[in-house]
Amino acid sequence: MSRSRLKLLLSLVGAVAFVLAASSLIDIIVPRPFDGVVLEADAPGRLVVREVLGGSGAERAGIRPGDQIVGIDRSVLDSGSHAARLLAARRIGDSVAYLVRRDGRLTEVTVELGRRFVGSASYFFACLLGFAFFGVGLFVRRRQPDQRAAQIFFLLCSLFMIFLVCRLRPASYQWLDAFVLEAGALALMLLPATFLHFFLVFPRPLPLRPTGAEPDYAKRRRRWLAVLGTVYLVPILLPIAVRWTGAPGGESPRLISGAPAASWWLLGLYFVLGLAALGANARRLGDERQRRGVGLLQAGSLFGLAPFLVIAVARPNWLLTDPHAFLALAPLTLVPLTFAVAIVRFGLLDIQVLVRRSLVYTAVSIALTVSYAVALGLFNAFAIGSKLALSPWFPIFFALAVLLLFEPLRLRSQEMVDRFALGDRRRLQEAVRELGRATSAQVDLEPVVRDLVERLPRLLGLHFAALYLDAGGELRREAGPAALPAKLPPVPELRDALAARGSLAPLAELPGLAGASAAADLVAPLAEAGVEWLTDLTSPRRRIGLVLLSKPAGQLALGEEELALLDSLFDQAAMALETHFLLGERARQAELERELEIASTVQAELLPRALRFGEGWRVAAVCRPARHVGGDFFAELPARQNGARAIVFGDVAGKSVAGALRMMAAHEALQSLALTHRDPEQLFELANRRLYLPGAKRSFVALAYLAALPDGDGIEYLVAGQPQLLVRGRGGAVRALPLPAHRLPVGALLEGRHVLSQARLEPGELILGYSDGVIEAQSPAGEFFGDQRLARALAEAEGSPDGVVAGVLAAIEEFTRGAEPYDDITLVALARDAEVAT
Amino acid sequence: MKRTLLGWTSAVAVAGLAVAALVYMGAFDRREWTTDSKPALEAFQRGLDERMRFYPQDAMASFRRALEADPQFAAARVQLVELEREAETRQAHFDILATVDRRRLTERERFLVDLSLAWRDKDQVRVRHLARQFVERHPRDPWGLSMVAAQAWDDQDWSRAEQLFGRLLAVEPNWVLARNNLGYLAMAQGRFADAEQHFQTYAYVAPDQANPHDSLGELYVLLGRYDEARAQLEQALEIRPDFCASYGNLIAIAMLEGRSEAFGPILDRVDAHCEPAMAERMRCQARMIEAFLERDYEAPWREAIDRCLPGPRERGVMFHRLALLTGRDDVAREQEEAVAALAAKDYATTGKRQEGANAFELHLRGVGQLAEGRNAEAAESLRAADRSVRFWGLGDGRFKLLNKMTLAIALERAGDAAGAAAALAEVAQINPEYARRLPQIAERTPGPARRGR
Repeated sequence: MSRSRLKLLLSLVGAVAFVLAASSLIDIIVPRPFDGVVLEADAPGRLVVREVLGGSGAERAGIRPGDQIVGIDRSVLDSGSHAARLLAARRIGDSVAYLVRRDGRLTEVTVELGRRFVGSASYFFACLLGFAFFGVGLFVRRRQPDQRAAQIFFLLCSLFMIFLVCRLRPASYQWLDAFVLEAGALALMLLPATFLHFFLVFPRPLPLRPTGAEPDYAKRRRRWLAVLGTVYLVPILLPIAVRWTGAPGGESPRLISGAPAASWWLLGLYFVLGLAALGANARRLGDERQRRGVGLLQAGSLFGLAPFLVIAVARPNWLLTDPHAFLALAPLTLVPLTFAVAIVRFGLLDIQVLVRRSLVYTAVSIALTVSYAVALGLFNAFAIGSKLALSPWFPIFFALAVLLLFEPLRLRSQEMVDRFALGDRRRLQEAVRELGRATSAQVDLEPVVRDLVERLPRLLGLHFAALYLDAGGELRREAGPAALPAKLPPVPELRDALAARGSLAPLAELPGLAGASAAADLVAPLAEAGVEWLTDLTSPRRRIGLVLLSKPAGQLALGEEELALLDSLFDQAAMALETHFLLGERARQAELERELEIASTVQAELLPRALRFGEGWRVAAVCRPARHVGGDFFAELPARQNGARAIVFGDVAGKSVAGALRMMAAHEALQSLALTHRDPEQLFELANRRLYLPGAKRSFVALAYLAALPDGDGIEYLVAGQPQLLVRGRGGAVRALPLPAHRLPVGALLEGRHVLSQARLEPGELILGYSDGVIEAQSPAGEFFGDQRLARALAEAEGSPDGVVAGVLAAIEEFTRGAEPYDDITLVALARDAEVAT
Repeated sequence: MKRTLLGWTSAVAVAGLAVAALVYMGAFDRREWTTDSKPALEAFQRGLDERMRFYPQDAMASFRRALEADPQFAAARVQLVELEREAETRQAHFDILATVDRRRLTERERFLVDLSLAWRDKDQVRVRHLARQFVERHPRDPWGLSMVAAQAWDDQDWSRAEQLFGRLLAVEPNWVLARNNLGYLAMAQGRFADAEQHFQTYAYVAPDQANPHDSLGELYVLLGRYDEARAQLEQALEIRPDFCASYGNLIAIAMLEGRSEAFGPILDRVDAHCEPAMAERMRCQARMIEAFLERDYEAPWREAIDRCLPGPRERGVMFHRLALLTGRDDVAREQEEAVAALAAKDYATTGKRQEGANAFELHLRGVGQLAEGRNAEAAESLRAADRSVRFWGLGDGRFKLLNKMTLAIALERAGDAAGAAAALAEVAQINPEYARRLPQIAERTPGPARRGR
């Protein structure tokens, strides 16, 4: 049978079991005339009293356990359903004549019919326990749908539920009673088989050939099928065979709780075999924690089942009354509980839910049972015979009230029981939390790696953990077993899927998460190496790497809370690694800044401290790099006339270090060429050739050249890529000097020739040259400073060149409001002295 | 291949279950009785229950109501015709039954109609044939079983009757006459506990009937539980003061207890509630018993007891002893011959000996032999009588006890003390009170020394 069909079948079994148990319980609660007689299930064909419920009409009539009900309401009974029909025709409160056989003699008694109730406290306890076990089994199966042990555990829990709810039901005369009792008996017969099956596969499937590995899997599978088939078929066939062949002497075989005595001996045998299988399994375990789990399981089975077998098998008559059945039930609860705890120790189940809920359910069940019994007792003492007692709604509301009480009580008890019962697991969780805290405090890589790859696997009992770090898009193994690939290929889909999931993902789910084709190359080698879980380590700024976790030494399956804790731990680890990387980057940044400071100083020293331009001229210039270093500069060069000086200011393409380097190159080129070539047009041509780099992007320099005319009443100028020069007249009007036809920056194109222009200036007039960083300065709103504001600032500035430079800078600062400069700013102001003019 | 096999097996199992469910539902959906009237059916089923519980008058009323609701209801008419005592009405019912459309009826209804018509025709052969044939086809049908069981009872085929009544009760546990008969059959075989439970169950099912209490009283008298017997008999008479058999049993208790003074009040009640002939007969027997108890053996003869007990069956063993004790051997012989002749006549008529007839004859012979002092022969006769009688059918079981006591006396007189003790022990095991009265009975048992007027 395929795995999916097996799952479906198991779901079906669980659903049927639940419906059966629930309908059995509901049937009891449904109000109908009831005499208080609980029938013996092991007396087929006769209506023998097993128990008489306290406060019932049967008890008041003197009916006792062991009596046989021969007739009801003046009719001799031929079956339980006949009795049910007769009672159904009566009403609650009616008095009905019963014919009872006791010690071989018939007695007639009158029974007052009451309403039916759940029955004894022990049965109520059994019901709650049964449903609690089913809930635990269901939870385990939903959490671990692929684990074989979880599936068998679910089956075991379902069978326990049927046994507890149906088999121990205070059976009356309804056909449903017989049906659920038979189902309970069947469950009881199958329980040992499931028990043995569980031990055969837990914590690992027992090798059926103990000599070593079995290479032939088909053969091995056939062998397993044969063993399990036998294990399950024998308990079913045995009672059939016993009933068929009959007991010696031709009498009907003696039944104990619905099964022949032979079935009980088989249960004992299975029990011994199961413990032996568990012992054999324990010997194969290498881990001490696992062996402790197995030990717990053995103890639970021994102390849980052995009293049950002694009471049920050795002294079966003790089961005839509920108080004694309770004696057998109480230790029996140890079995699923220890199973659960032991499985948890192997990581199969969620400890919190299993142990905590089981214990709390048990505790709450007991508390409610006691209160139920007390309430019933009080009710019987004070209200029997009243309208309330006769109301068909009373039992329903009473049961609802009990159910409503359950969850609040459980919640209230939860924390207390947690503290009491979960010390071990809590310590483990606390250790994981502590690891998280310690990891988050780290700033070095090595301790974080050690925590993740060495301490974490030890805590969780994993085979290994591995850490891959992102290195230029690919993942490199930082730590982990050598069996894992040294590098993992970049799979963007996987990265996105893991980031979207935001938690540990089972490796098996990767193809579903990231797309089968994308994940295939990654999954195969990891699965082969034993990886079961993986998660992405990501900080808000970057993707840091990948953590891989193996299976545990046993049948690991991380529980929900462990997964949540691990997610938290990995988040903390990611932050620690991010901090580590940030600190490294910060150190490198500081170094760079120091170097830039030096570069800035060096660059600043290249600029002339004072500019000379010639007689009758005043000069002021400023160069402010946008960063530590910039691409703007100004320089003083020899002009064409002997002794005259020219001023050049430039703006290389690019900013910061790149701009500064180009600026240095341009500066040095101009200085060296100017030594031999004083003709500005020739100088620019040569500089163009020097700075032109074929194929290089943005390696040009915007330049402007200013020199006084020989007669001193104007300037000659060259503009290559720089903005138009502005002239402020004596009246404050601002005008732009015309631009030459060829004004491309130097180094932009090999062709073209920059032609010198001339401009006459009146005394007192001022000429302003500037780089594009001035008009491109931005306000916080993103608006450019622009030509208009520059012209206005120029017009409004104080008359001297220094005043103009200061005024324009002040206007820019006011406009940008201290925002980081977008570009380097260079201002050169030349003013023709008025005195000279006169 | 395996998956296919598993799938097919599952499919066949599911299909099998579905078919079984359909068959089951279909089987229970079949109508048992042919009527479209719900009130008629309800009244009819109530009538059946009343008939099973032996309430003939109530049952008749119910069947009449059923017929009023549905005049075509043949099964109700069949039941009514069996209970109806008025000949003309019976005949009218028979006439209607003869014209019933049999195609509408179920097989059981057709059987019941056929059976009624056979009764009408007094065709016993056909009645037996129909019943046997129907039970062969429907071995669990209560009506068929009740017929064949009653036939076995009439035939004195006790083991078959017991088996058939048992089967009938397994199907209809409230069929009280079957339970009563089974009680007597168990009593006859000495299974007194079973008998008691049958009678008690009968009393439980039909608590307002006198019959089960009388049966229980009868049983308790046999067992020497006189107080319980008296209580049951009084309960029977409380329910039905005209249930005259219970008065007879009360007299028997008084006799066995040796309290002749109790006879008067009982006989007064008999006078008040029973037919004069019966009352006279009981008075006659009471006088005889009283004479015995007081050892005034001539007294009954002075009152011409032989005239008020004319037939051999009424006269009984006490009359025979009284005759011998008073030296009226001719009267005793005459009674012995009459009993033998009667048994022979019954045998010739029915082809079977009547229950206990042979034992009665042997017992009288044995007592006669004792009177003549032929004690060993008497013991043989009495032993043979013991073998041929059961604890019921003759003298309500008390005859067998008396015969055993007489056997013990004969053995004692024959010198077989051990045999006498064993016979007495058998009596004591059943009725220790009675066994303790051995000396009184021995004193009143004829012998060579105890004869003469």
